[in-house]
Amino acid sequence: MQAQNGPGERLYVAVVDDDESVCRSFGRLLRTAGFQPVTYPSAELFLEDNKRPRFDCLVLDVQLEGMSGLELRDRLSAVKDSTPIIFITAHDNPTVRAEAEAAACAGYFRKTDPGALVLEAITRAVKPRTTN
Amino acid sequence: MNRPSSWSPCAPARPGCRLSITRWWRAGAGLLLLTLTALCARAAGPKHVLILEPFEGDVAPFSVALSAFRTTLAREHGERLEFYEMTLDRARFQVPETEGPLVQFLETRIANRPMDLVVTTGGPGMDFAGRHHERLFPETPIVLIGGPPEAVQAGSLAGKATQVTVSMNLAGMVEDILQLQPQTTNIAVVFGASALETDTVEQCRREFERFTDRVAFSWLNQLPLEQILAECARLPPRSFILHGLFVVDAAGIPYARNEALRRLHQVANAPLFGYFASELGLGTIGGRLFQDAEVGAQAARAANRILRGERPGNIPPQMLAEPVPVYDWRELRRWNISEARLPAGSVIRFRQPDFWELYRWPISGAVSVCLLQAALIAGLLANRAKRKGAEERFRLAVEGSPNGMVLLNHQRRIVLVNTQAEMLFGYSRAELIGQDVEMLVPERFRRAHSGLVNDFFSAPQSSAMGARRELLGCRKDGTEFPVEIALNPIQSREGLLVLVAIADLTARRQAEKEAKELRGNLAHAGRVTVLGQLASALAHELSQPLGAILRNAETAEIMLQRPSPDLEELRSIVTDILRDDQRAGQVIDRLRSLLKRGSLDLQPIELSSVIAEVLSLVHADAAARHVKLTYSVAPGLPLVRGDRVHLQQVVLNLLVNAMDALESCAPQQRNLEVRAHRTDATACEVRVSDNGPGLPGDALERLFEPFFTTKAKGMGMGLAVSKTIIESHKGRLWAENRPAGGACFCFTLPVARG
Repeated sequence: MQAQNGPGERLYVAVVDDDESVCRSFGRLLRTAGFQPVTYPSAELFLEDNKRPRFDCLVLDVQLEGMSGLELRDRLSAVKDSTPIIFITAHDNPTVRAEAEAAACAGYFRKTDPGALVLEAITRAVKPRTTN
Repeated sequence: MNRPSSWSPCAPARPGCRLSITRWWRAGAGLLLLTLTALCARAAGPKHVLILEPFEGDVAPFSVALSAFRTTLAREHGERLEFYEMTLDRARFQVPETEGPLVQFLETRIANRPMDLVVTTGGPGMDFAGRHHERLFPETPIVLIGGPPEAVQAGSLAGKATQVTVSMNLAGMVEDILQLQPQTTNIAVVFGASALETDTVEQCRREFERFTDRVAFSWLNQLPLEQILAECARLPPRSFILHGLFVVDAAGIPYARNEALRRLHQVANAPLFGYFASELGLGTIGGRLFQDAEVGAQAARAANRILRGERPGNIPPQMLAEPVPVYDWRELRRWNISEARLPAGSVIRFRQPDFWELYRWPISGAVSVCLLQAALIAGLLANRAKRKGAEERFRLAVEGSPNGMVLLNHQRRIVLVNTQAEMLFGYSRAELIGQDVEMLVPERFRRAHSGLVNDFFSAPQSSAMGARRELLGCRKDGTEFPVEIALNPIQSREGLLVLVAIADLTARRQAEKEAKELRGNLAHAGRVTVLGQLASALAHELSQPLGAILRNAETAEIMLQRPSPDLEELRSIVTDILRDDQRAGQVIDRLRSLLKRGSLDLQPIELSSVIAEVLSLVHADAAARHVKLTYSVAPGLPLVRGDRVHLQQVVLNLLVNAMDALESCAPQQRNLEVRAHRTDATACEVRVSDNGPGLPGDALERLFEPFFTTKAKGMGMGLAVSKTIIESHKGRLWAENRPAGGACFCFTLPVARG
């Protein structure tokens, strides 16, 4: 699987999830798939990270402690940050799904959905940007 | 011979396999190494923790402190740990000279496996560590649980060890006893006979000196257990037994798992004081107890700091605060000790608010009084021929009975009744005399009843007719009521007479019914019943570990397709999978115990009565915990739509939480207020407010998440379940801090329409 912007340049993907195990395993999958993952345990820490790279895609947990994934998206769009966002959730219900989809995300997955689908969505989401 | 045996694959459903535990056993002449390691053993650097258990087997308080230590450390450390357990068997090997082989063995074991931490407990463990740490583990930090507080700073362990302990207040044990029973004149002091115990007894003798003007102490420590038991079964009145520590008796027999205490409790003829918190519930009465589990848990926190890189010398020795006195309600009741005697702020455990208990005596009393009276009267009657005036006395006795009395002749006609019988059945005496007794039985039973009476006349003996089944009486107005009947045959000049005593069971049946309902409600309370709602909490909790497992497995799959997979990474993947699997298993275990079939039954109900019923349930508990309960309901509150049992569960949960929160306030300042009022045309609101410490900011947000808890022993399900219950009523449950301090939990419910 290749996920490279140009020769030798990897695509940066942020994973924001308050479950340490989910973060670690997601990061591992992304790294193995050729991405450069950076994980954050909360939306606040993501925002506070002054040295964060220019991400190509964000994977956000919907229900985070403190600021939720949806709120983070709102914050980012308020500052015209249009990095594609993929929502993941452990608590799939119609309300959450509707809210996530209303937020114009590049994907919405349950944490137990196949990783291949998530990787595919990430690849699809970053393509328009990389071809720009 | 040392060999690894029992290679056990990590069974996912078994908690604890995330840790590999190695235990060294003594077996025969040699020493057998038994390793119980998971498949994932020897992956990227787990920390090695050596636990030196002072005694073989499960000897409280040492084993209690160590197991709390192990569990807490495993939970808080978060990364892989390997525990090595080694028993010093100080019950058998009491003098340092016999330690040689043990030290050698330990040395060989540790030689190839440097330890990151050594932990031991109590004076014996501490002495051993002090004597041998230079040789065995010179560089390894040591955590000491319990033991004399000065041991660390002064001894050879200074700078290398930290300690978490409890101040041993030996005289406090006697103070606690005298607080409960000020008239105590004799205290039997029970201890084992090991060196440690003998030392402690000597210390007790010195410290108890100041009580000798009011209490005589009998020292039962240099005796075999059997003899101690015999002594404790025949103590003089006003005695108390003080059970200190019992590791090994004077005959050299070691006792583990509180065996000595259990047996003592079986035979003792006086109340039993035990010093260790873990013994409460086994028959000790309670008091300011030594927090053996808590000290282990606190020590684990110090150990975690060390494993994370802090130097033991930089962690000052810690002394746990004076414990809250805790008592066993059953023992207090057994020895007739009033709760008023307990110090302020005491906690009472094992309370059994059983209504059946309250009613059983009146109920069985009614039956036995009934039988007894019938027999007494029959006795009087039998003497009638011999005694003049006996008949009059008999009439008086019958008249004075609290039960209905009817005397039948051999034709089953009524020849005598008392006022009670008149009142029971609603007939006057004149209406009854000379009539067939069948008139008092509902028509549909007359045939069967008639058979029973005939049987009785043919084989007369005293019996309780209704003892086995419910009989019904029939009043003049046709209404029926449950009765219990006792029959007594009387041989007289007129032939066989039968005295029938009739007890009205209406009140008893009512009490039984109430007790049953109450038990049902109590059983419900605190348990999860809304299966559908819970399923979503379950899905959420399981999705996290299952999702992580999936990602890890997917990653491994990709890696394995490559020419040279990174084995180290694969190993950590497997480790993580095992850990998450175990986490999922624990979620299921925790929920399984809570799951119960049940569905919501939404009816228009009176909110005030729902709350009032719960308040009556917790009233006694609140009083015992010095919580002042106030309840106000706004006038004209409309009916709400709800499920009574589930709403009671929510209210109960909120009240119990509030009372727990109030534990930290002074007893005279514990206020708990429940208010119900209407917020608008469509909703009512209930507010449960306390003046406790309130909720920290981060708790306010997470409070309603499944498994979030601030209590040491909480399941963290109560509020999550309460929230799902309220939400399935289309209401809202939330928490806020009150401006004046304390927390307030509020919920709304929709007003019932129509």
